[in-house]
Amino acid sequence: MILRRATPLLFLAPALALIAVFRIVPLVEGLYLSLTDWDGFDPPRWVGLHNYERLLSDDVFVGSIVHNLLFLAAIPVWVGLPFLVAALIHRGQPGARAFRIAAFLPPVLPGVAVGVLFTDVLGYHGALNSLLGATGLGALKHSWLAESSTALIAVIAVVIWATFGIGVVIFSGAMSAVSRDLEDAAQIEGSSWWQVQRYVVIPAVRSTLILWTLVVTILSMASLFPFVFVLTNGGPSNKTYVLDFYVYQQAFQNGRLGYAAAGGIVLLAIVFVPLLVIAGALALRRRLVA
Amino acid sequence: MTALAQPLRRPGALGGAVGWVFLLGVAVTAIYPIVILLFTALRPQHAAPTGLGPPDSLDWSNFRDAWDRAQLGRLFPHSLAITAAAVTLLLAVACPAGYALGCLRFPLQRALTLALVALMITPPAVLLAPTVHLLLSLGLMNTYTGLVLVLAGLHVPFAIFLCSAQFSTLPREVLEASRAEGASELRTFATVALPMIRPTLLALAALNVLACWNELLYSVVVLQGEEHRTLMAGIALLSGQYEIPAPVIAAAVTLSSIPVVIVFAFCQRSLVRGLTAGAER
Repeated sequence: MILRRATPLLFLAPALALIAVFRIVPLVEGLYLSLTDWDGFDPPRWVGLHNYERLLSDDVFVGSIVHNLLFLAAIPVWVGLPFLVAALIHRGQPGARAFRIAAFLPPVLPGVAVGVLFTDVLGYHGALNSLLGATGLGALKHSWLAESSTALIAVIAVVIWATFGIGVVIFSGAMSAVSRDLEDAAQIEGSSWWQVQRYVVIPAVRSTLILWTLVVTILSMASLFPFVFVLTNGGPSNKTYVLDFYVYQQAFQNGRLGYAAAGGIVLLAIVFVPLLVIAGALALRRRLVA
Repeated sequence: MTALAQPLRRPGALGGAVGWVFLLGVAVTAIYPIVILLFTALRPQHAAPTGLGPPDSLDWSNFRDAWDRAQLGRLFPHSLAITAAAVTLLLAVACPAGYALGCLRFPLQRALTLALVALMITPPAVLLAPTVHLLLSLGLMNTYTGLVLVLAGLHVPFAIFLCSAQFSTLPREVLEASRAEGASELRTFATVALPMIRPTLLALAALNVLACWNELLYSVVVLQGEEHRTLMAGIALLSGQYEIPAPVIAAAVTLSSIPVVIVFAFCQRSLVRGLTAGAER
């Protein structure tokens, strides 16, 4: 009888142990470390909130936060593009699968590969400038990754390139469940393709739209490191610094691990506080409406 | 059905010509840069960049050069071993946990689910410094074991989540029948439930192979020093060095991407299913 009760625990134990040691413990330790000065060799030295003060007065760190938020400004494209692609191919037309595979190839590539790839394409003698020159837009040529005014936009574009395919797949899956009869009925009544999307498809995949928006938000906070590392290393003039790159830089290249831990905690707060506020607001609204 | 007043236009007839042009544009934008990477990899090392087109002559020796200079022969096995170990570990640990979450009942079940979601949302960089501290304390810094455990820990929450979602869709009668026959829960899990979610397991394995092979942040931080480095770390550090010609780096990157492209080619349908299943939950 006791064994029966303990069964779930036995099934959960290995996973819980792994998570406890390698996720929970570091989380707690991170809070402690953020209040210390530590170089990785000598014992950590207590400094209280000093790291946080320094973070908030560090232009590069504040700049990182701004740059991360600028990624969020790209959400209309980041969400709209995969949605459009999926909407166009979701009826299973011939060639739809080929498009989906084509879109899904970039996300498979390592971030390092994508970085190297676009370092070439976006270089001054690279493919993009060649294309601009060939189409008579030569005046728009830039050294995209090396100029302060264009570097961040270039990085954002690369990240969208590398991730929109995932959205295409997710939206395709959701749209395949949309009732075809409903779409056909709207069509019979004379709606244009765009109207069908707006009044039938979008409402039906609303939760997927929200999900994907959340996914790209998380991506912008959590997965930029390989791209920034290879494309720009944070430059030019620190214009492409992002939070996870900043944490790495402080920890690894500057040997300030306590400071990096503090940066990590701020990153955690930036991700979770808005989420908790939104979740709380939703729960409150549900209770008021009910 | 009443007769239609006008012939039914196939609704996503790709939204008409505009839709077609748009899709084609997207497809080209998605694929052509990869083609350019291959062009760069085949370009003679001291030739000028050729912009959009293929190089004037193909230099296959870049691949040999990349292999030697990036020491790919040494780094490939490192990444292979780490990826294989991490994925095996995380699947071994996530399947039973997912089964418990999806098919068994225990207190604080919802709390656990919420905790898993919270873990999935946490950016890996948050734990960078304390993980170094932990690994140092355990003597696992600069060891394969250390990186394997860290990578497994990073990806286990999503794996448990996906498994539990899939397990919970299994018909209860099948599981009850097995229990009624006297099978222990472990038996039921291993011989009845687990085989039924094989597609999900395949998708999960493929997704995690990709994630671990492509990983950079912890690979660079945990395995310092050339003897142990992973493939991605090695190439990323190489790409920062100016003396190495662009074609050689492009060749190195191409070689290092071949395994994940192969996984993609074989598991593409499975990956798609895994992603959409996760999204539905």
